[in-house]
Amino acid sequence: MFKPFHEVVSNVSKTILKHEKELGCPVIGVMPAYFPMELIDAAGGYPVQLWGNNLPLGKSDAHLQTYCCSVARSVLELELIGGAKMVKAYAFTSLCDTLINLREIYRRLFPKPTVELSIPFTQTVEARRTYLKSVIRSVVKGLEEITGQRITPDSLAEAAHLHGRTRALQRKLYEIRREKPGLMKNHDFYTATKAGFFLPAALYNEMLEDLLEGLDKFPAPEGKGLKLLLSGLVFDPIEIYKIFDELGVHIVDDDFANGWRTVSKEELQVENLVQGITEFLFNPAPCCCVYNPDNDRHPYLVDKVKKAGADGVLFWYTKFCEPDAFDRPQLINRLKEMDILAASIEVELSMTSFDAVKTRISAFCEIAEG
Amino acid sequence: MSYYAGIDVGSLTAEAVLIDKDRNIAAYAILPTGNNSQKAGTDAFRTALGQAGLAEADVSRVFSTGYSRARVLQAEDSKTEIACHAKGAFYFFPHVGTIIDIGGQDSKAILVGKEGRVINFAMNDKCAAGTGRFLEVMAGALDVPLDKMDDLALGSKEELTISSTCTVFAESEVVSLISQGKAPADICLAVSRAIARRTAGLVTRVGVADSLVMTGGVAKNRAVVKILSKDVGHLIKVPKEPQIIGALGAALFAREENGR
Repeated sequence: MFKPFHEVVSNVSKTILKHEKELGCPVIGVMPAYFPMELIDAAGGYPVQLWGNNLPLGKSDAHLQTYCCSVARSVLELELIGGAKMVKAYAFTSLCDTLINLREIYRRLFPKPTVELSIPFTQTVEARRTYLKSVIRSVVKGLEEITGQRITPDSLAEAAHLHGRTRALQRKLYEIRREKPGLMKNHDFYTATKAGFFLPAALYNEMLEDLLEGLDKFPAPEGKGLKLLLSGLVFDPIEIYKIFDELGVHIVDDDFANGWRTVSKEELQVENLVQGITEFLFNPAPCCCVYNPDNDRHPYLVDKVKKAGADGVLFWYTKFCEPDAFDRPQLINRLKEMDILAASIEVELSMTSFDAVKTRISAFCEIAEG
Repeated sequence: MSYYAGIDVGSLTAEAVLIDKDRNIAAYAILPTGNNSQKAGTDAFRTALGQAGLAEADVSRVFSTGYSRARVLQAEDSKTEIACHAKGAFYFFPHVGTIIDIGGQDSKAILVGKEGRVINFAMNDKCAAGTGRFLEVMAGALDVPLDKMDDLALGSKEELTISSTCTVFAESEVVSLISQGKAPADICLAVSRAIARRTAGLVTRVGVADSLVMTGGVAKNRAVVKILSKDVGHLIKVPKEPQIIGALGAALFAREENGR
């Protein structure tokens, strides 16, 4: 059932080139996180999400310090070695200092156009909307210049429905995983999620519908395994999920920026785009990179663990994501206060040896199992 | 068939421990891992068997641990070195609260609770600084036998500092100190201090309990233990043979799980 998703993830460039040709749309690389794909589709673009890769890093070191996160370094490496020739333009959000600066680096180094959805750091909803009004105008204008097509109310509504459907289907997949632990291998689940980063939304929706239909026939497997919730920015390196599978551990939920934090977003409301995007950026899941004093991560995570019935939380720290690192100690403390087992593992996207990670995960599981 | 074995295959050494049904240590062996971790595990096991005058058939169950735990042919199951060091340290020190294990390629701080169960742990496995490998490199740079470094350090007369936390840069600092004519004893102390400084931070991350135990090969260096005790503000106890604690823990797990 998961074979088509594995084929996509194993052949990313080939997949994108094939669909670029079929669609006749310019490929727009979308940097982390929360840039509404709907806007790109509505403008006639083909959005592909760039959450980093496992390339050995070399050329990017000339532009980004080694203490920058491996997501930023690896996407830059991809462009510098000529691996992203099919990408005609880039869409950024102002998620963190590194990504804000990365856009400036791209503007100086490459002729490819860029747009940036700047996420406001303001206290009130009204201030966010005021700020976003001009930002969205600039993003829409930028996308229209890139694709040469206007974003119309109809194209926007259609795109919103398409991507809203994607996330609704993904939520269903999350629900099955939560309610039937062990039905899907962890590695298969994240491969299915990752495939969506590179496929046209309509095709991906069809694949998800087929998958869900297939999974629906199976009951929850018998037998008990340890149930964990993962939290972090990026769920890669995907190879690590094979370790969880080997250990018989079921990931029952997550709090990844490219996982549930995005999947949980409802269909973008386009009647009032500013209001719709404000809601889209700030809700429902809180994020370490999005300032929202009304959406506290601590009770949110505790509640999420309880609802998922998880035995513990493993924080997935992609080196060196500063916003994630700053939040983590307090989150771990809060979980421990609530008698929820929590620990952290450090990962890098370019890592090729997983022995140390396996030891950490195994030790955490040994603690959880008593 | 009333013996149990634990085999710990790490990056620098492989250890095997045999225990009897009453948990007494029957024999142990410590061998270099070399370039074949599978063979190293087998050799350590056979050496321990030879010392005890036992055959493989006398061993009911074998557990493995260490980075190459999955490659140990004789093992029926494996446990992480974190759980095994906790188990092994608890065997010698039933009141142990925090364990510091500095092995060949990584260092760990382990917080343990009742019955030697692991509550929390922190690892440094990204960098050789503060590990056995670090000591080996420094011994090489100084042309001093590894097992003589602590004797030299404890006789130091001048306080020197190695500031870098990177093994390669620290080695450059050692070379620079040698070229300045500094005494090997003083450089050895500075090396010991560098390891202790780095380890103290790791220990603080998991919590410093009243009863601290140090395991792993670096625990044989009395200068590191002494400085680290001072840095964390508690006396650190060291088992008679700290290098076999992981393998001992694995053997104890093998014995426990045999009855399940």
